[in-house]
Amino acid sequence: MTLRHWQRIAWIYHIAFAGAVIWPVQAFVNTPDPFVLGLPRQMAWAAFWVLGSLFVLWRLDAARARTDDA
Amino acid sequence: MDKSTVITFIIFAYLAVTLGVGIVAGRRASRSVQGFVAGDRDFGLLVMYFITGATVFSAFAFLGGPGWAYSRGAAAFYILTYGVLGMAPWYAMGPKAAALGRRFGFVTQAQLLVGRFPSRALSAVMALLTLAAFVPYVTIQMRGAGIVIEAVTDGAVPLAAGAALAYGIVLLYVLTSGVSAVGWTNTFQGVFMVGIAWALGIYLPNRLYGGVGPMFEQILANRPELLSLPGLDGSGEPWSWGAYSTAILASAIGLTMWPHLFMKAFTARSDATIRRTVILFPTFQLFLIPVFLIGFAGVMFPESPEQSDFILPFLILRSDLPALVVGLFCAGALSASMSTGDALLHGAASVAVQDGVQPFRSLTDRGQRLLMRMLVVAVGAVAYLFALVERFSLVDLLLASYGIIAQFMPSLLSAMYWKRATTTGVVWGLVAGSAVSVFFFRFPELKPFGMHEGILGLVVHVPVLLIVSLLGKAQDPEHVNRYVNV
Repeated sequence: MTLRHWQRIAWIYHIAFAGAVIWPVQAFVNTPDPFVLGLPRQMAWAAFWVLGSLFVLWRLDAARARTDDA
Repeated sequence: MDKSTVITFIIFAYLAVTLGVGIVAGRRASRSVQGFVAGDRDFGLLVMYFITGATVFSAFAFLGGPGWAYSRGAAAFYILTYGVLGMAPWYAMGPKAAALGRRFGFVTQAQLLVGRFPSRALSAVMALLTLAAFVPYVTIQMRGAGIVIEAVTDGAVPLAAGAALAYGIVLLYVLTSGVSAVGWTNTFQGVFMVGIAWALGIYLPNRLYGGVGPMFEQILANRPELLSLPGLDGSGEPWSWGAYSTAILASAIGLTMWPHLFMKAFTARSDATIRRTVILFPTFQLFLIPVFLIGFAGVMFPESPEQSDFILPFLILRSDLPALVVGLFCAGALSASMSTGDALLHGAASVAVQDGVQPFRSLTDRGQRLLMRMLVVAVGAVAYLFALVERFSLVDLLLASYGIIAQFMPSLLSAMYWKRATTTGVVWGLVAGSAVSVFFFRFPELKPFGMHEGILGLVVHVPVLLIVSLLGKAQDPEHVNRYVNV
């Protein structure tokens, strides 16, 4: 995928992230069990989105590096 | 050696190393305003990573975070989410701000704004709002340091003396070395606080409950209200979804705009350094997980501290831990407090001189540095007085500051991305948004759905900025293009 694709994905991802951790979406992910790695599900949900950000921004930067090299 | 001697020795060793690192760091920087404020624009990835992470995570995260998890349960999860949401826009904005800084010689956020929208009044308003937001933020850090030292010495060193000791050290290295000291001490402190948080966050639930899962199972069985969003408010009643959701949004916007963080874009060696700092930031953010685990570990503990912000030192002292561990915890908590406080003191003095004084009375390079040093001491003294008398929770104070700082977002975005924005529109938007934010902070019972005052301010700010700008005369396209088309 090109730099432009990853830029678009990064924007969409972080808007989705903001939507997923506030009302009303978060209200649907609001029971602590089943625990995930011992953590309440809402806490694991937040950690999942944080880690996803790391992945998306890393791929975006890799796409930028490829574009700069070309 | 008895326990208190070991703890005291570790605290003093930590403070001595911090002071040494801070003073040595300054030897590399030039003796100029650019060296004092922007580190000669020469910070690499390691320092940028830690200066960002350690500055964001402060006494608020290290003490307020466990305090919230302990007393307000799932409400604390908002802190876990907003950091990355606030930092991600920097992937695009950071390099652009840095490029403008290099082109025009900017070292502060307001200089960038006033460069695009020439107005001395705007510069002064930015300086005033920044100081108004910084003082409570520095107060939090000082109080955090004082709380830790008072708790681990069992009251022998009171909060006032502990805060004075920690911040006396901060003043020494900031006055000597400027932002270079902030950068390198934050690197040292960042390693320390993250290591300590993970170690304690895993150790305490294991020691007290036999593991993280069993701890949450017990909390779910006995206090299920703590594991249901949006958690509880300060009085123990259910928090509202409006307050929880807007706390995340206002804090994310505020984080993007904090002047002491924004200014760090001007310190980076390259655009790639800024981008990689943003990419790696989530790894720092996850350090909040063990911080919350420590707070939750206190829920089923048979005793309670006087204030929820004391839960972390309270547990440490009652868990029969070796003196070495208690001392290291204390150093970790001091790291969290001092690594943010130093950046704030340095940022407050830089902003006050560059944006509040320089536009009205031109000073020499030497005069600016002297005045900045005097203001570092003055801001520290004011915050210290507040730290001795204030009674609010650490997190509540911080949330109030975010409301003011969030108002910078529309103005800065307009400066860098919106060609049709005008000076009048930006000034009116800023004034209207700040006034609304302060009004709802003063009268919280009038907030619709319990929404954060910063978001309510933005609801008024953005339309005012748009309408007044569109009704006014557009700026000279050549001037605008120098900012927008970078």
